[in-house]
Amino acid sequence: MPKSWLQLSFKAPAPALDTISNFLIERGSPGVVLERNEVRAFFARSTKTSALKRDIRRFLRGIRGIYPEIREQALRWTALKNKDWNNSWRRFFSPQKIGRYFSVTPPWMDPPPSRRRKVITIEPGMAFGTGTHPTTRCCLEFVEEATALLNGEEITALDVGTGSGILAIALAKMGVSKVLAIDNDPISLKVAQVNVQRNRVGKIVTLSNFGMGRVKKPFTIVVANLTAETIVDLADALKGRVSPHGYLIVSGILKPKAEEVLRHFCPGPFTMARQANQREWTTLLLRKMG
Amino acid sequence: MAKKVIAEIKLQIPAGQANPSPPVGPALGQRGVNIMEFCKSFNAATQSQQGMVIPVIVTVYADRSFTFITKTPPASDLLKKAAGIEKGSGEPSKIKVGRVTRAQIREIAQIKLRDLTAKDLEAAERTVEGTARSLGLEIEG
Repeated sequence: MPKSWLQLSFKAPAPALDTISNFLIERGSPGVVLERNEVRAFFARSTKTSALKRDIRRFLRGIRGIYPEIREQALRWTALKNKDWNNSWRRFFSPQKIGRYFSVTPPWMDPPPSRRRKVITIEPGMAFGTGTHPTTRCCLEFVEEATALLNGEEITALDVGTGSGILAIALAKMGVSKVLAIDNDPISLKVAQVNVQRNRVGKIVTLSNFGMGRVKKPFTIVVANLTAETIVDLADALKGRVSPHGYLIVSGILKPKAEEVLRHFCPGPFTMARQANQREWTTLLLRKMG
Repeated sequence: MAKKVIAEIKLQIPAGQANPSPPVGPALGQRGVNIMEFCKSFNAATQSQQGMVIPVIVTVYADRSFTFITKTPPASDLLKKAAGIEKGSGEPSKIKVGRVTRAQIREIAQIKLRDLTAKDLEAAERTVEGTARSLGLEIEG
């Protein structure tokens, strides 16, 4: 790997981006970034840099007959030191204390030791639910609350749209005996599988690509961190999957849509136990009447 | 789950060759995207297209999770393949490096239509024609 790089960036009209990208890749850039009609290319620093700069200028002059919008302009060259890019993205993640009982942590860090907190290890990746989003945090708090309110009962749970599996894992860690976690995205299911194994709750959590229509039995807790629109679409199915005196946690609802979502559940078979608002998001904890 | 998009990053990378170096590392690392997971998934998804450059759009969500979609290879790659050349011309207005037919242009425009901003096939053909000329290809017919 080269010790340092030169980053080239300049504006170009949209129809010319294809051919310009091709030229830059042919001249040694291992790919390009395209952003709002700006192209960014990367070249390993070497003694041939001045020839490269000359070639690029000549090429851009040469295609001006086809793309007159390409003007004589300053090409921005900036030096870029080689970084540990493979790990630099990790600075965005650190162990998070959530609610009274959870610590959500990426696998490369250890949360501060605590006798009370249950550690959920999640590798951030291609499935929603890394623990940093307000909707996930509020759902985790309501998972704690619902399991505490059902103290002493045998609890089963359904996680609709499990994503990374974080809520299913949390339910298992709070003592729920069986959790069915469903998602229609095969990538999320793969990610969730890894997270379930990593957290050693594979005997409690079952992952499935079932749609709500194929889930027949009721559960003591149902959690659905989706969107307001999807929750409204699934309202009847969600109502039917919560057992009497059980709890429904719905999240992913933008604040202005909370009233509309609530109307599908209350008044009716549910009463509102709690509502949490964090930033622009609302999460509802609803209790089903007997 | 509730997915709020915080960034869409467009890249072009040779199929099966994504790695943490530029452009992937700096472009995705600053958004908190798990770079190795992206590289592994992209390389697995594009391994059958080795030798082509693949445009990819990475969508980053508020919790730094991400998804990506790959697009059809750039018109320039398809044109080089059609003309049987390895590289385009460094001075396309002066040095011609190959030929393509109008039928080939049309075929490539059809492939690219869904990815281009062109409003119809004719407009897409004109875009592909421009790309062909800028590669130093002559158009027959």
